[in-house]
Amino acid sequence: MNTHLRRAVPIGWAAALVIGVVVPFVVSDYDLLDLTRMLAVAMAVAGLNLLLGHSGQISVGHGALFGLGGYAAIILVATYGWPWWSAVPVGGAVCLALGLLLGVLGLTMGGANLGLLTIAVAAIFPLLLIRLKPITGGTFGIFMAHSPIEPPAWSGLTEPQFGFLVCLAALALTLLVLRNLVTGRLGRAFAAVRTSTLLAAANGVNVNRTKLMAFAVSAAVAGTGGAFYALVAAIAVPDSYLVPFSITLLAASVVGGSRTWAGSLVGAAIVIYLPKLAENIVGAESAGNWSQLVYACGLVLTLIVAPSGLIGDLSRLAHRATGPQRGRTSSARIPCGPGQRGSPQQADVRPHVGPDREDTHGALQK
Amino acid sequence: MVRYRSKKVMAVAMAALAVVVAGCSGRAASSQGTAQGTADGSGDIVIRASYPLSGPLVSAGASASGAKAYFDAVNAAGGIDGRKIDFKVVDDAFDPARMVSNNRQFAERDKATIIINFGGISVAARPPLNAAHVVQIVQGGEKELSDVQNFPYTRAFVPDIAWEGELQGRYIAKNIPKAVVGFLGFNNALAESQLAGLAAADITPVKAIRVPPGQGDLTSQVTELKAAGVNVLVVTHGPPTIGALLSYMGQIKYKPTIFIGSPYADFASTVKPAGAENVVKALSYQWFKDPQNPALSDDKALAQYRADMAKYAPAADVGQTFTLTGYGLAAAVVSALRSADQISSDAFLSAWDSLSQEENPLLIDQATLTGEKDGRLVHQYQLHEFDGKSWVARDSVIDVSKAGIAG
Amino acid sequence: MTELLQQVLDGLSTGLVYGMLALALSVIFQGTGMLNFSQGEMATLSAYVTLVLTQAGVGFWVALPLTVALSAGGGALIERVLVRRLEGAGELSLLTLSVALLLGLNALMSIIWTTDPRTFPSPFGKGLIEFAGLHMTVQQAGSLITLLAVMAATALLFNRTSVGLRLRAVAQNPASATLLGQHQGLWLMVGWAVAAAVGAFAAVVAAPVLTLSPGMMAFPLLLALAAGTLGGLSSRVGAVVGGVLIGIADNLASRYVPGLGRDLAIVAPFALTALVVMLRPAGLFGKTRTVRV
Repeated sequence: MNTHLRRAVPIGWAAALVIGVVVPFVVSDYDLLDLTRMLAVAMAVAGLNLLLGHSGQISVGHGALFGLGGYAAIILVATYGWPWWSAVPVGGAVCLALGLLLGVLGLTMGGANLGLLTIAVAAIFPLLLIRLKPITGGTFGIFMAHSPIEPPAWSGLTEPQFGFLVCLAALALTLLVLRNLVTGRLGRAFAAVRTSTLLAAANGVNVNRTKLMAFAVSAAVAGTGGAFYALVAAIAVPDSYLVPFSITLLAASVVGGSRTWAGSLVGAAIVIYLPKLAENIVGAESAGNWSQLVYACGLVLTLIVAPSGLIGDLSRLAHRATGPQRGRTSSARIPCGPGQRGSPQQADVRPHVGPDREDTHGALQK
Repeated sequence: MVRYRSKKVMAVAMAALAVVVAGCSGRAASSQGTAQGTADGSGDIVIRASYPLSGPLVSAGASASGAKAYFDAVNAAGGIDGRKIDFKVVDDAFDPARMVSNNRQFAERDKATIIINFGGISVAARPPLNAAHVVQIVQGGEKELSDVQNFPYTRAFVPDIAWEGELQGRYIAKNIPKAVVGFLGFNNALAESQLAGLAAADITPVKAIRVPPGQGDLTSQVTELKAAGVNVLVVTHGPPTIGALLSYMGQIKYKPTIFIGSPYADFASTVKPAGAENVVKALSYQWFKDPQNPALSDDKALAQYRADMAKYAPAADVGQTFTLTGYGLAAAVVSALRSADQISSDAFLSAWDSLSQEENPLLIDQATLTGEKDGRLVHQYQLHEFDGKSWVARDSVIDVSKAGIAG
Repeated sequence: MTELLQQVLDGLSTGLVYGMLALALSVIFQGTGMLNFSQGEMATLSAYVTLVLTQAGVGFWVALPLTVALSAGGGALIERVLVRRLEGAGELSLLTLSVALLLGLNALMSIIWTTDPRTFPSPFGKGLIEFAGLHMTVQQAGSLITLLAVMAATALLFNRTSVGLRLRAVAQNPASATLLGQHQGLWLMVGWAVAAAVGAFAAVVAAPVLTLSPGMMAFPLLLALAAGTLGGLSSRVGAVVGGVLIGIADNLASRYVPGLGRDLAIVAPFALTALVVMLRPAGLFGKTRTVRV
């Protein structure tokens, strides 16, 4: 399988990368901030995808992890004068540690309760930020004169351009690592655990360790994204990381398609741009509620029309249109992880939020 | 069998990316710019605002309609020296990152001369605008917004809430000899400022309870205050909680002397939800008019406000003080613009700081706008008491900058 | 001592609202396996409906059953039109649907009634009951009785009627129930109706205390989730008991635990829940899963 994968050169991704590299030279600086925020959020959504789509666990607290990574990084840079490139990994590492802790707690509490544990973290995190004022700056948070991700003088790049390119590289690297993770041995363990914990255990997969690993890696990825987010915007304020943000990330993962890596970009684009789009359609003044309504309706429509996410279903459609007989296009096909088959198995994507209902439920739908 | 995705997937993703990119402006556009709002005395005066039009503080977004109505009325009357005000509002959902992004677009794309921000998150958004030398007018009572030395392009329109705390403290020290003071507020910087103000008047509450926004049931907190023998309660809790709080206190017949924070003492926030009978005898140091206060039914400035709102923002809720505050803020901006030598950031700020005894539709009777070293324009308060029907002035107007409180 | 008892009493009143919401969550969870994040918003909508009815001149005690009936209809409608389409898509999609409902209902209420807080008439009047230095408003006492009555009615419905028997059968084992000729979809719909009705009661008794606004139930819902987990979402009794425990723990911890404070009050209920669930993963009253890996 691996040789086959390597042969299937991901031309699409390469093209996306090329477009990405061109973007900062085409788009104006003031629009780049939103695009860069989108890339950072995409990292968090990709982390969630690993958790939801590949290991079958849930987190309603990734907004808090995203914020923790951001705070860790910006505190190191703003308060202790660290260079940004050394602060970002620390942001990721802090979240890795918290991810391990939450993962262990979650396993002790039973998988069904991971949702509650993570939403508790999401609810408590901003309150703690306000309480720990000497470290976090309290209500006002931490802010800097400009982004510490500064371009080297020789590059001739502006700060927003450099910030975008750095985040693009980080996202590309993240997606590459995640993809390799789920296509490798560990990926098969993930798939086994997701499909049936019993079966996985019977086949010698250490279920708890696999779940824990997925949660920790997912948290670290979210934290790294959060670190970039805070450093690019040059602020970290509690109001950015309230419970609704965590919920939004979860929705973004599902809508984009939690089993596809391209879905993380689409999900992030929805987080950043859908409110703006809605605002443009219904107008800004006295129309904030309409934006939220549009957002909600969009979410419902996506769920009903494209239950495996926008990218998940589009790819299925595309696949159907292309037809399996046209094998020559296979060289350009994008591998999106094992178990990403046609349609019937989509019902497998069921993280544990409920009691053990196992497959009876899915079977009933047919 | 593992099947692979068609490259069409990526084509779709790239199309999505292209849509996003299409929503952005080209790099060339920013370098060209438009000669708007520059000192050459031509073109429109560009003012932009980032308000929470959705999210947890959506109620504050009403300010945007008030500001829009005032600017529209000015434009209809010929603008400022013949120049029109080009005003637009964008939603930030009270997310600081969105506010920073909005501000950057206002400054770089729209070439705004003045940017209006709302609330405590504006504190974190100061650096980029100050670096770009763009005026940031904040509708917020945080003490930090008086830091004109370090952030010379940021001005707060509303007064520092600490001043009100000190006024309350002085009143308690002078008039209530056996006061056992309790404090109830949100867990935010406004509460800290207010407590600092009380402390400046040597008042330390025996209970200072700070509750996160969203927690609506305060029965347990009331029990705690009552058990501690609190007989003077300073409240800076906003809606929706404050109405329920006062109503509950009324029902259990717990009646300490209550000071209600000026931002929330109005009819829409407190009196109507709590029921007038539960607000009787409450005190409040007020600096702005409540459009629903029956005592002000003949007020001329409020009549003009209602007329302007009806004409230019008919959908807005004129009974909200936030709407009136936005209207008053816009009026203050226009006052400074009219007295500025030219339309530039520096000229505007110098005009703002040197405004003196300027009328404003928002302010209580006899109060005026005067610029001080703290960059704020409002320094005059008047003690009001609720008599069961309306808020009635109980004392003369106090100027905190002359009373040794501000500055 | 009097304050301590009063704090417990306050916690009881507050906690019953959490318990009611948790009960509604539990009914849907057992039926559809879905954590319904929009339960709070659905309940708030019910309270608005009551307000509209009373303002139109309908007496409160006529408006209440009308609201409950409308809410049940609304709950059933949501199940029929939205939830059913997604049942095959997995719990994650269902969770996202509930998030979408939360956002959508919240926006809808804000558009129709604005976000201004509204006084909600107390159906029980404004008196005060005092005994041994403790007090309870008539509103609180009335709510308590109403909630206990609703819980008893729900228990009767589930345990003593054939409707309840079918509901439980579908919840416990959908496959076998279907094989035995029970129309699964119908009973899931009934479950949603019951949950929406229970939520309506919770909102109507909470609204006079909290004042009615679109986000009224956001915070209670968070604690109801904790309550449900603490007591066990697979147990209706557990959900209610969990709510009361959470209400009391919240008050006592934030009042008496040094360094916690009111601003971090929410830590206590979640910590308690985590602790209990670590010892009993299915919650206090939940059925422990027999399959262990």
